[in-house]
Amino acid sequence: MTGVRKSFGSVAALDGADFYLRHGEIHALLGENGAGKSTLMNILYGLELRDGGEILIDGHPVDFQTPQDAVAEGLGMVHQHFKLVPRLTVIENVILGGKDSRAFRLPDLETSARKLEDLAETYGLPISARDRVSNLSVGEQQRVEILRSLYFGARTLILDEPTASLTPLEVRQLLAKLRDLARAGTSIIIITHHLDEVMESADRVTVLRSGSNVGTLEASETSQLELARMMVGRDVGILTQSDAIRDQKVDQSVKDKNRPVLRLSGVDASSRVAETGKETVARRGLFDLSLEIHPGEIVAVAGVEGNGQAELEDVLSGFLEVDQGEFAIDGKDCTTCSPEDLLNLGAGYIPSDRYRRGLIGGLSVAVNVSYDRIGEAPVGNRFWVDSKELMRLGDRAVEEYSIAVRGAGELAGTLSGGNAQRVVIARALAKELRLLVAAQPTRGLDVGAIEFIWGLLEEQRSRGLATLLITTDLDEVMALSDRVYVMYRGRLSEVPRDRESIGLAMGGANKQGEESL
Amino acid sequence: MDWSDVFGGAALIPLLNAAIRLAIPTGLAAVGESFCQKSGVLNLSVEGMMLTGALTAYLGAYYSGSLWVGVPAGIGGGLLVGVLMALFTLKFKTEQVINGIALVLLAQAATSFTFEELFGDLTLTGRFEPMKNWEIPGLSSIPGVGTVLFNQSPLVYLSVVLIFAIWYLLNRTMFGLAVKAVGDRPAAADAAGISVTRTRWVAILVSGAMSGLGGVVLVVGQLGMFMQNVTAGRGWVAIALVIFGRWKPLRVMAGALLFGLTDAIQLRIQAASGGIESNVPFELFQAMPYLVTIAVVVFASARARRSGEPEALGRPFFKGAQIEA
Repeated sequence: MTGVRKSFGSVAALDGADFYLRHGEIHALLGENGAGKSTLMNILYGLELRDGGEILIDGHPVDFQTPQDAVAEGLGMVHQHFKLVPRLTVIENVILGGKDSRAFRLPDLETSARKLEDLAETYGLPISARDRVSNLSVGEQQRVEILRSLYFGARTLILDEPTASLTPLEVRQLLAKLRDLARAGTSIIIITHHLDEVMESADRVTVLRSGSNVGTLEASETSQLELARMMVGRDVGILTQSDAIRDQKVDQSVKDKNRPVLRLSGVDASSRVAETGKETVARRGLFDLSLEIHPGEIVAVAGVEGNGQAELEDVLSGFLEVDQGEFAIDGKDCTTCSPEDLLNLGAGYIPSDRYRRGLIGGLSVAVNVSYDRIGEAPVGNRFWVDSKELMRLGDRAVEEYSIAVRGAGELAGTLSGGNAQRVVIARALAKELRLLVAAQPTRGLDVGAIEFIWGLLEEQRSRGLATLLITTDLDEVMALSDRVYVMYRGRLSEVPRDRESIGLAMGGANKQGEESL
Repeated sequence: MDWSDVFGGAALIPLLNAAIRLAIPTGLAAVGESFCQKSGVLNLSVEGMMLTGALTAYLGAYYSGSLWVGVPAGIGGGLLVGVLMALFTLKFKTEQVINGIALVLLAQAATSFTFEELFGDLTLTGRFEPMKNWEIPGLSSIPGVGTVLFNQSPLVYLSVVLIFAIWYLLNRTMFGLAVKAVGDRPAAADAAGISVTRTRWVAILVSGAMSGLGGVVLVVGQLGMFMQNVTAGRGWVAIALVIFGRWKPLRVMAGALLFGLTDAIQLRIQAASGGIESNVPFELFQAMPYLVTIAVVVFASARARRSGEPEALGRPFFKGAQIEA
């Protein structure tokens, strides 16, 4: 791909970008959100039409109008948000993209299913063709997407942010599989902004910034620091700052060890009233949790996803009642608090699912910044909304939190991950807080946004806020936390703040190497 | 009145025969609508499709003197409304619910107006003899079942074939798979190379043709006449039956049979209780099938929603749009 250009309206998304892929290599396409990575790959895959530039495959020029043209040339793409129909089975989803079958016949499902399962076996990506997609985990769905591409003869795979919604274990498995695939001759492009994954899996890296190339490097000849610098075009604080420096920054003076802001003691909770078929099952999610957070400290809850973090988040945000045990904020009992009660007690909340729980997509950024205060001063009173004040607060948040929008009137649903999260945080921090529950606050965000959000959390700590940080990102734990707990199978244990101890506890072992539980 | 005239041994077989006959117009429309909704289009114009089909079927049969001409004419009438529905919904992407209701109102006014212009008034002019039943040789002489199933109008046989054809199309063909994908995750279908718009066009037209045929069966197969609002809300019942049948064509048809049975029973009760002479208002009886439909749907729908409703039902598809709820 040479000199590819593409504009949306007056904004140039790609301004003469180049990209060269070799046979059988894993090539990482790196860049911040909005750098043009996805646009470039969408053009390659025929999802978007380019304004200029040319694309050559094995030396001959191609001009894909639709993804089907690209598939016919041996390309396959796995989107960040999977393009699967949950109600259909795996094999039905696969043959949906088939061109060979006539409309009034269903192709032989048996044969297709066998072909798919053979393929799955060959590549070591086990899958059951008859399962409904809605019953599969995120990792399995991704496997289906990859297999679907291979089923249609893809020799080049494009993966858009393939690790964004995977657990750390699944990430490692995926990257290993991708290396196997590359060794077997498939060329692979990974769109990402995770530096460690680049270093772990890629042969070469192309960095994009503002729609054009910064450079292409051999992964073995570069470092995370160099790549980060290329991505953002300046030095990045978070990567250079060592733990030691960070430790000194903790301001001991604001800590008040005697009075915890948040106190959990012996908390049990059952949750996820899951519908399996026709019966509803209540599953115990949290067992005998105890935890205290004092003013001016960030306490991290680390762990592999699915070990009870969602339940803990729900308890602390008032979505889930505790079965037994003590849950208090500033000494006030919260065991039966609603989300509203918790807000009134000064407990802010940054939800892990920022789009579903953190934003109302169809309303403006301004409303989203203030909607928990509508009906009270200064946004208005019980009967009226002061729209001017609302807009003023919105504009102020846009400026203060560097939200990339034309104005606070823009709809929140159109925001990218980083900007959406800034809106969520702006709302949470607009109130006078005692406690902040931050669940996966930087998941899926680019380096610039992560740096910004970490900065905010540190600033709040120095002002004496107590923060509970639920995260699966070990770097985040190390960068921010004063104390660390690890969650494993619904239980919480405090561990020393070093990577080895945390890693061991995440896997269910304690320092002596014994299997706990 | 004598209840044995309604449910008695001698009355039972004609009753079931009538139930099937009365179920067909609603059933055709309902099955067509379930197919349409599976593609994600909430087509509320069914009543308008049926009514327009009924008028064009009547006109075709009346002016040509051949009942069979009424069949394509009626299907054409349903398709006409279908084309309008598809244009508004898919081309101009206006709100589906509004499109449907507007088209029903339009069809009600337009059919009455046309009929009045052509025949001077809305009274019972231009009656003709409805289509005669075909007794299927052999099968119709099976005691009981033979008379119920195999002594029906040829239009009933045609309808049954079509209803099974829709089931087959939805569940056993590539096109059916595409329809389901488009109705659940249009963006995923689009990425797989399926044209969301084209698929939905076909689905709406299928609904138009089936509803139009429903109008044909009513006018050419049963009444032999047209009158203002002759479909009497059967199109709305059809939509309710789709929910009752959880978007599964054969379950939907079963619901239509229940509707037909209630209709047949109320006709019997009317007759047995003295017909016109009765002091019970006949409107009360006529309301029965609708009341039963409401009751059944209320009980069935709470569960039905979760188990079959297409996820993108009623939502327009914009290619390449970033936000999906």
